[in-house]
Amino acid sequence: MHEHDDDLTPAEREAFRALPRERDPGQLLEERTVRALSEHGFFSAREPRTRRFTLHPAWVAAAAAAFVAVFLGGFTVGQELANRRASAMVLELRKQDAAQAAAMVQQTGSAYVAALSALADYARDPHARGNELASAREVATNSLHAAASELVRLSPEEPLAAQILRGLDQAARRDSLTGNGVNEQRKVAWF
Amino acid sequence: MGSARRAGLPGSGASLSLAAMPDEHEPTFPPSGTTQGVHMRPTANPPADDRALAEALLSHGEERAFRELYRRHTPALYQVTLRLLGGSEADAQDVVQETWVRASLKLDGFRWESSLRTWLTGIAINRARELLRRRSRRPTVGLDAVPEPSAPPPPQLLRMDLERAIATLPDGSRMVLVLHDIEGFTHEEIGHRLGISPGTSKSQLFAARRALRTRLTRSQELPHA
Repeated sequence: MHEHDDDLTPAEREAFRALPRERDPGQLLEERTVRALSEHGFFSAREPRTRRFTLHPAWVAAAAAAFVAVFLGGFTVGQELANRRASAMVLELRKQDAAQAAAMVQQTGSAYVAALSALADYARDPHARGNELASAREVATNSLHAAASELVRLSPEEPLAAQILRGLDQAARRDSLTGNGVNEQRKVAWF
Repeated sequence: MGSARRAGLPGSGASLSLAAMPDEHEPTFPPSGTTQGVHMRPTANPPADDRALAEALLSHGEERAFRELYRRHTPALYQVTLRLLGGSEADAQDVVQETWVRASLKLDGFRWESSLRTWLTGIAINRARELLRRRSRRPTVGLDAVPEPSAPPPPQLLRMDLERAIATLPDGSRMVLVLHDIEGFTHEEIGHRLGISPGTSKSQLFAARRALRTRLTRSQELPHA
């Protein structure tokens, strides 16, 4: 037997055996312990997790690019629609101008032909004065030359207009030579 | 009785060393070991139940599982802690709370080679010992300072004043006596838990029993004085 072994008496053994083995510390300690563990994040899985949206730089860049693309797309489409509308309007205006110009040409041409016809009738009159006829003929020739020039400018491949211009130019050179070598100054009346 | 003092053993007058602080690893001693004292070793509930609750706690953070474990083991933990600390309820509550927090944080590393209650008790012992070491509440009393009891007290007085007498023991002696005579640990287990040799544990137990008998005898004589 070990020299420290002093066995308990039966009464002592019984007294130790009779001691309570459990003791309730109270509800407060349980709540305190649960709270302490919660502070350590232990019960975080029970709580509904709130998903955090972190603004990752790549996400921000992609969002900005998408925004710019949408903006530019909308801007381009809008501009295209506006351009189409403007083009249509200009085209319509041009169509209207061309029609008006054609009508005016038709009216002017008719008046020109009528004026030349009246001048021809006047030339057959024996009382007609030569100076006036010469001026009227020169104005008519210049008008014909101007009309042929515009017609060539309008349609460079128009053979009739080109031929008229060549004939008028040759006649003008011939007239200028018949006046004793003196180039008479023409009196041009432009409309 | 008194053989230690007569023989002049190294353990005579030595207080329980609280310097060594073993960690809360699972105990290496066999859980089913018996002692020469009262066979009141902490008994665990079926391991499967505790383990299932622990798994629920670890996997899903279920507070309900923790509360079930807490209610199952805390009363025993609280009682042994209260005795180890000499009856200070506030200190015992702090130690129990700290035990649960520490155990929960280390629960995933528990290998279930012993019962959960044994593991928890080990943690509580360490926490209690650390608290006593920090506070050094009472100076340790050597064996020489303890007078020889004249005779064993009667059983009824033993039962009445035993708790109070245990609480007045020096910290080191009280821890050994509580663990050995009430909780049923062997001297080897106590030595492992408290970081002392089995011989020191025996010496402390001898001193504790002698002091306990003396105090119980005095309390028996005082009412008749």
